[in-house]
Amino acid sequence: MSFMSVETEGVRRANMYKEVKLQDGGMEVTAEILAVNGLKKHFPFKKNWFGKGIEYVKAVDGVDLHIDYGETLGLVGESGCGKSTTGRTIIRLLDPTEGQIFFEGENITHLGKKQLRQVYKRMQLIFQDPFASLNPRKKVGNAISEVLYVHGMKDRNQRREKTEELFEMVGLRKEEIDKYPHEFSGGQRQRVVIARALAVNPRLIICDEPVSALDVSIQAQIINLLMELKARLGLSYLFISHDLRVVRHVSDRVAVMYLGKIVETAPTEELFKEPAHPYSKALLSAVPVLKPGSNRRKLVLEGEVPSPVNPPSGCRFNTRCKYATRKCREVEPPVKCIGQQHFAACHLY
Amino acid sequence: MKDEILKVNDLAVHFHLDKRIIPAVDGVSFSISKGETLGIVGESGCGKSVTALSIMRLLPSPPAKIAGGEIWFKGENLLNKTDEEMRRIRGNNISMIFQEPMTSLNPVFTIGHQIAEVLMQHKNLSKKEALSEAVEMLELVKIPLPEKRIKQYPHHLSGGMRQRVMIAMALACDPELLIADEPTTALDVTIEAQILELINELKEKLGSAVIMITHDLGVVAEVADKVAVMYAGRIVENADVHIIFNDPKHPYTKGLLEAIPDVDMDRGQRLKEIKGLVPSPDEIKEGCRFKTRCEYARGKCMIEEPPLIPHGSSLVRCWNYG
Repeated sequence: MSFMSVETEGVRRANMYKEVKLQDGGMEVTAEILAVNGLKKHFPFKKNWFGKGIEYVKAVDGVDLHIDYGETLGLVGESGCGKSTTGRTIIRLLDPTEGQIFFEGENITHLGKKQLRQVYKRMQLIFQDPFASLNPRKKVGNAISEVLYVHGMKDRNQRREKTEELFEMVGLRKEEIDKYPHEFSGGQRQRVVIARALAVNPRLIICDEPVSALDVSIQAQIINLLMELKARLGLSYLFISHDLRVVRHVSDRVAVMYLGKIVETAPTEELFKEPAHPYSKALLSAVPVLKPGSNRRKLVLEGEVPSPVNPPSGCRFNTRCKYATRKCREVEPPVKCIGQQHFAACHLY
Repeated sequence: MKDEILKVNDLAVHFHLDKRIIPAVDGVSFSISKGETLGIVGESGCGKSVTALSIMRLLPSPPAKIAGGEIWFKGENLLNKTDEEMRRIRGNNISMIFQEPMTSLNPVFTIGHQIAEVLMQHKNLSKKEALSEAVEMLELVKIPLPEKRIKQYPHHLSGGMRQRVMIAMALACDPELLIADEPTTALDVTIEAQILELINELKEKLGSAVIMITHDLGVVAEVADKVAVMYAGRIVENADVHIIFNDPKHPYTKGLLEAIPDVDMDRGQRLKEIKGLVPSPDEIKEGCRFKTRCEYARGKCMIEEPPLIPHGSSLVRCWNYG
């Protein structure tokens, strides 16, 4: 089955959100559901006597990205590159050190708790570990019901009805509402978590490694569910994952992150066919192919990722890049447009 | 078979828990020759790690109990060995690499100390000789500045480095068989590529046999010569790696391959899912273990469990081929 039958509905909805926003907004950035400018998140790593940081882990160090209505942006990179921190800072679980976050045209960078609650009606987060994101002492139905209550649905029966509806939407039986998390398998728990995220009618969902903890056969079920929901509800996703095969499958555009910065952004097909940045090239060639004896030449990277406390000067990839010149060691490459919607930060271009 | 080094015959491992008996591995047989790599794939709980640990005789007993079968290693049944004899075989003849390199290294000893200890135990070297050989081993696994590294502690090293140290340690006594249990699962793709290349290179150089246990079919495609696919404690398909990927026979193998979005597949198209869940061992009463999730399941599948049926050069546990 393809998603064609329901696709139009999703696209229509996404466009509707966009148009409504364009009409009442009038701001420049409103054509995008999310726009992030120069986002930085530094964690103090050593502190002086006064408790003030003197050394910082620069987990996210100047990230620009945007997501259109109804679009899925994949964010890939290796562990420690700052992709999860980016996701968490965007949804304001972490306070950004610098930079701005625009969500549906509204600057949410410095919103307080109360105002953020309004934002969370339209933006939600799904974590990797479905075992840790549900309270083991609470029935799963109550976990969802609580979200509905917090966001203003005070009538009990109405909440129950809505919860049942959500359960069916994510492919769970509605009798399962009264079960506890331990009675579910990993895949089913992830479905519950998705249902909870959908409880508030979000438009953007940040998925942080949503399928990494699941077995292959279950992974496919959850990926299909996420794509189906997108097509049906006109959702946009920021899809954070280290699994390039999965990212390629679900994303419209992909951003590659290395050591706190985005080194390349491109439409999925283009990135996988012709990656421009040397790091993207190496990363993509390292993905094991499902063909034995294909003998594809791998660009095996030498060495390890440098520490984000003292990132290398100039281009951050210069210590592992075989094309690195003196310029790369001294001057940080600007982001250049090298094709339609294709951007790379490398002196080669 | 020439140079057959390990032959596992009808191995059964049961866990005894609160009066319940859980058959984690149930009648598994395979063999492996010198210089060959066998990939064992399956999802969590299928018994692949338990199989490996029982070859090493590392399962804690109780609760685990080897309920039947034989493990022939160079003409000797490992199941009849005493603990003392096994200790000598482990490391000397068979060694193992685990998934999580941080928990398999002792955090309070230096890297050099830990590799040297293996050499002193098994090769009766003096401490000095052992340390200089440890440096050579680290060079072999391509760790830069090995003289400096042997004085460092595990927490000084990154995940990829630690896994290299584990490989160095496993290969210290030139084992004839190396068992790698998810050696790259905790690592990033670029580091995974380095480690897989290293394992392949060392295998060629030292001529040992490798058992690669993994859930990632991509890894299997990369390194294995033969593949055994496990499901719910049983091998469901055993074949050459090319046959597994180009012409899979068992519905489960087919399902697994179709469930992974591959790089040259159409984007955005619906992935084929294997419906349902892996049955818990108590649920398996009769018939084929895959029947609840199989789209081809028919009458016979419900009542009688299929044996491993030879089909071409492969073995398939499915009535469609018998």
